[in-house]
Amino acid sequence: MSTGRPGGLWARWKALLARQETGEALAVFRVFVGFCALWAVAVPMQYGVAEFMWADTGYRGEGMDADTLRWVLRLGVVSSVSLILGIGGRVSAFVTLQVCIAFMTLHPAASGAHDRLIKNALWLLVLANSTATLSLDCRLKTGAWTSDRLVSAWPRYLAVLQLFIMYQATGIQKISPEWTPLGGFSALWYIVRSDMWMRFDADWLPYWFTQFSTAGTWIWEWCAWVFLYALWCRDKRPATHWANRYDLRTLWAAWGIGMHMILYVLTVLGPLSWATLAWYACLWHPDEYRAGWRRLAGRLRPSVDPASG
Amino acid sequence: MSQPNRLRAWFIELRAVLILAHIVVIGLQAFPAPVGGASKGTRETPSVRGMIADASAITGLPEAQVDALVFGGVETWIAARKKVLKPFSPYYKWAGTKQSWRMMAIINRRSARLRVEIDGALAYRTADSEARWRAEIIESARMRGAVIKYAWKLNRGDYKRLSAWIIDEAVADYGEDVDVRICVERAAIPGPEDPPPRVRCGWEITR
Repeated sequence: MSTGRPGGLWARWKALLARQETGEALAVFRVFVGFCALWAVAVPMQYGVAEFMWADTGYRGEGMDADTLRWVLRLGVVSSVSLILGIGGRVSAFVTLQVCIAFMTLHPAASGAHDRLIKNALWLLVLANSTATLSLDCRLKTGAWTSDRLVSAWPRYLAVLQLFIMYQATGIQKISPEWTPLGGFSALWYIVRSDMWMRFDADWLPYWFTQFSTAGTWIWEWCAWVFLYALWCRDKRPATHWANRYDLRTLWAAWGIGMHMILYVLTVLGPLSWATLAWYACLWHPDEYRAGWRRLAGRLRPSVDPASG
Repeated sequence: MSQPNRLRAWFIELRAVLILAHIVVIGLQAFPAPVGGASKGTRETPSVRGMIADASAITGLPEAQVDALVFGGVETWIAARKKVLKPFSPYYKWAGTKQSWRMMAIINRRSARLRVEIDGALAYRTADSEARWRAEIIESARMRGAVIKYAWKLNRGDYKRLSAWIIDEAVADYGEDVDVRICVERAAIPGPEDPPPRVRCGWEITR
């Protein structure tokens, strides 16, 4: 098998996949995904919603036997919590994934984009070493909660790519005039009044605010390529480059978090906002997590007055 | 920091091939496409008819011509996509890594509220704080997604099964002699300047 010409595309591709880094970003991603998966399996356990949707005793008369269903749900809760704590490594992620796939195929109409995001994230956590640091696995292996152990960076790159694909594809496919100036940016006006999505009566909400939020969402999704460009600049361009000086990636992420929070407050979309924001953890390099932690710890540490010593 | 692992050459090659193949395969599925856009149900929904009428007004073309242009293109696009994706369908199915990101692509300007009357009194009505019988189940986050589809078109089988379950629950709570009436209130969601909508309760099922 050819190994590729040095400096050629194939060799550069392999070099990119061979990169290693410490595991902070993947660990944070793992914790967020674990909470989202826990939401996905634990919330339906309330009020018999799970049996109603997924058991053969439910309204559809098809699905799992009710007792088996309850055991599978409990297994999902245990594996999600294991994922959050970082115990069991890839096995926890794989078990959670299988539980999620089972439920999402049982009643596709009761499944949504957040389920796809959780499943895809869990696959990456099966492939990645996400418990190298900030995990119980790390504590048991090394005696410390953190470790400098290097892990493959490519799962984080794939997570970034998935985030880009998701936003860019959904932005391009928002073809209703209500998303655009042609429809007066009125999409959110109708969404918050749709009975099944509304969180509360939105009559008090000014029209201009829904227009602002619609335009903000639509433009920002269409501009998903911006964060990919910003990450490329961080890798290939000097720190003095304008995209790095103003940290274009963090600006894009801050805008996204704002838009997701507006949607979260105004609508009931399940864990969509959280399942999307979990992927943001991969936008920052582990070194940036370390630097951020050092800055935070420095601020929290009580300052010593030299005169008192 | 710890030393990076030394990997075998064949593994490096294989990993590069598999990851590239994965990106290509998911990229093809995620590529924007109006899936479901050519079906009769979608074409005839008031929201889509409204979009065609708007496009006709903007372009000056007759509505029938806009319709033929739009849906002719949509059908060709979907057919081509289907052919391209067919070889990879087992991968999407078994890996469970679907890339369908059509989120609120078309705004539905109609709302659908499920209404349940028990012995002549309103027991449940979607998003109605005064009528909450079994609301914790029917309005659970996952069921919202399933019920909202009634605003687009009726999934007759699903609606019948949901109604049968509601009747069983009413019998369990109120006894064998209970009278139940179930229907879906459908109305246009008014725009900022529009008057309150006329609500019609259709698809009635009674016991």
